[in-house]
Amino acid sequence: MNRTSADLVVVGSGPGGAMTAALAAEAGRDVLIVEEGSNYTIDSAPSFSLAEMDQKYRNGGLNVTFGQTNITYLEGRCVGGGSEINAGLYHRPLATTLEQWREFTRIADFAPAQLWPHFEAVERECQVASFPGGNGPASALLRMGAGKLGWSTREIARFWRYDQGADGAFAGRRQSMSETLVPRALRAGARLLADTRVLRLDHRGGRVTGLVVLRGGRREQIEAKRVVVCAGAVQTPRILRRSGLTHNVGDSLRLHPMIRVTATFREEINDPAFGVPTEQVDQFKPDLTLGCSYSSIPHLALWMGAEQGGKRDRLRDYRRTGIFYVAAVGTGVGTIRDLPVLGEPLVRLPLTGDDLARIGEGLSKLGQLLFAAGAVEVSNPVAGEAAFRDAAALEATARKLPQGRMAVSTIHLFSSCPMGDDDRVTATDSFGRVHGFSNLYVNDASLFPMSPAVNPQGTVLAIARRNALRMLGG
Amino acid sequence: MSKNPLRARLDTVVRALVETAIADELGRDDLDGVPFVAETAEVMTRRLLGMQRYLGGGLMMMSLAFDAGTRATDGAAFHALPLARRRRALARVRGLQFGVANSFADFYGKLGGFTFWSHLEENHALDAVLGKGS
Ligand SMILES: Cc1cc2nc3c(=O)[nH]c(=O)nc-3n(C[C@H](O)[C@H](O)[C@H](O)COP(=O)(O)OP(=O)(O)OC[C@H]3O[C@@H](n4cnc5c(N)ncnc54)[C@H](O)[C@@H]3O)c2cc1C
Repeated sequence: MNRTSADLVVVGSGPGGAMTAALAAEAGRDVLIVEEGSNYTIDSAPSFSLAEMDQKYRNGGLNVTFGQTNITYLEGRCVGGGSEINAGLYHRPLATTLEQWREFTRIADFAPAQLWPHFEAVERECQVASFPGGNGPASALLRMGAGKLGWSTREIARFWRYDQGADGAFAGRRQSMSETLVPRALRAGARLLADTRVLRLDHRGGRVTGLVVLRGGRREQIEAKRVVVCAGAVQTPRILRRSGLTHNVGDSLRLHPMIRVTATFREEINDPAFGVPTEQVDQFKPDLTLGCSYSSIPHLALWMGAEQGGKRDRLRDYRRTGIFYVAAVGTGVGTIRDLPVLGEPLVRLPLTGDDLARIGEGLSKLGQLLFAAGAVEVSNPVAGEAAFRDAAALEATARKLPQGRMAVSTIHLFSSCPMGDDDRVTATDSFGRVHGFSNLYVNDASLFPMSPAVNPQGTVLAIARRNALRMLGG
Repeated sequence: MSKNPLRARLDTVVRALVETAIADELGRDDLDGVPFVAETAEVMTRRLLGMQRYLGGGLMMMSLAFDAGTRATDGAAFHALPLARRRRALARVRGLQFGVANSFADFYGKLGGFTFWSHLEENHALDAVLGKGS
């Protein structure tokens, strides 16, 4: 077996790992980032393309949680993790949400006022901005429909950089980790081992001594004085459990279940060239978010209902149709286990009756908004059922959504190794150090005690910053 | 090197299922002149092989079983049926409304459709299917 060594090994280069590595390298530590995926540039494949799915998505984008309703989920698997494939929508969580977290798992030094400086640093250093030229026709429509109903909406800033060309037009570039914190870590001397999968950690007497990795089909050993696991909400508990660490590990996965519908209007409302529309209805936060999605022809085909006559006519008219979503704070709590022999993850999570009711409420509100904005047809998220032509019909369906017959998906997963001082419900202390260990940490979305009730990447980065600075100072 | 017989069989069955999904997307019983059918089938096979083995393996077994099963219901293996009858056979699965059947139908219907339209869009070939100016 080959041997490599480092003072600090960071497992995973998504937002949590990239933040940890950048700060540690800048503090003069000898840092090695070990990343399972490959090292692509942000423009190695067009966004939303088949090539991007091959390069940057785990399992080509096909992952499922099992329950009465299976939920498909997406994970990034490349240098930069989820930040390379996401829309980069940025939020701070509500102060009340952070206070709930603090009480739930007894997190020390976690008052909102102690956290805002970390969010401010993230906003400054990772380039959070709004598009200077408005946020697209579908956003305008969402605003208009919400306005008619007296509901508030908000344009959501993104991890994006906008540069104005000589012609005055703005060109945007996603500020993913491969554009920001990973190069920052490397400039400060960190080393990056891509295409290398961590299989398990070796440990003795409450100290990690090294990692066993798979690289080019061969097992290798890495010696480490400290290890920070940042492999994301599904993979981090897998690595810990494979290493024999099971205390509150992989027992409390939470997520934001999401459904999508297509809505057709008389006038043109869709400009796929614009990219992701960034308006959200925030009237029903924290439990529910309504918004619009990128609506290219392939995506419209994916979410519009199947009809006998096919989709050709409806897709020909794609500029009059857009995709809209309901995202809920899920109440189900799931588990992550590795299947024996296969060594693959089995993720189980119930979509609860409360979830269905909440999603139904969101669907009904979205229907009201879309019809108020002039929709002539809204697709039915229940498989095989006819599209809606008015809000009342939609409302009737939304009141009794069935288990197992809707395409429910998620891109926001967290809480699988919660942090806090109450070790009856947490896997780590208040700063991500794994209980019972002196040199093993978790620093990614797994740490959230509950849902952040907003798009999570900003919170992953801010918490990772807080915890990394503590680890480096302590 | 020649393919192993199971893999060759799988390729045939996936191709037949993908053709059927595309025919459903287009609402027609022939695929004359429709581009990127073979490429879509290739990507779908790659997705099956790239999924977690228990998911991909399950879907592969279901695909093969479904192919053989239409001998009893339609008098021939699914891949040997004319496209119109294949569409009806796949619609029966969709109508079953239980988890595993839905996953199977969704894999080919939704993901197959998405992959097909993505190929057309990425290769600037939407006009070939949707008509000029799309
Ligand atoms: C399609 C999509 C869209 C999204 N949109 C938004 C959005 O607009 N706004 C927002 O706030 N959030 C969004 N998210 C969520 C956001 O991307 C995640 O919350 C965030 O990336 C989580 O960061 P993380 O560091 O916890 O894990 P990840 O980003 O998942 O990074 C984990 C990294 O660890 C690597 N890894 C895993 N296992 C191993 C192993 N065994 N060995 C070595 N390396 C390993 C992975 O390859 C990956 O690179 C989106 C997510 C997706 C998938």
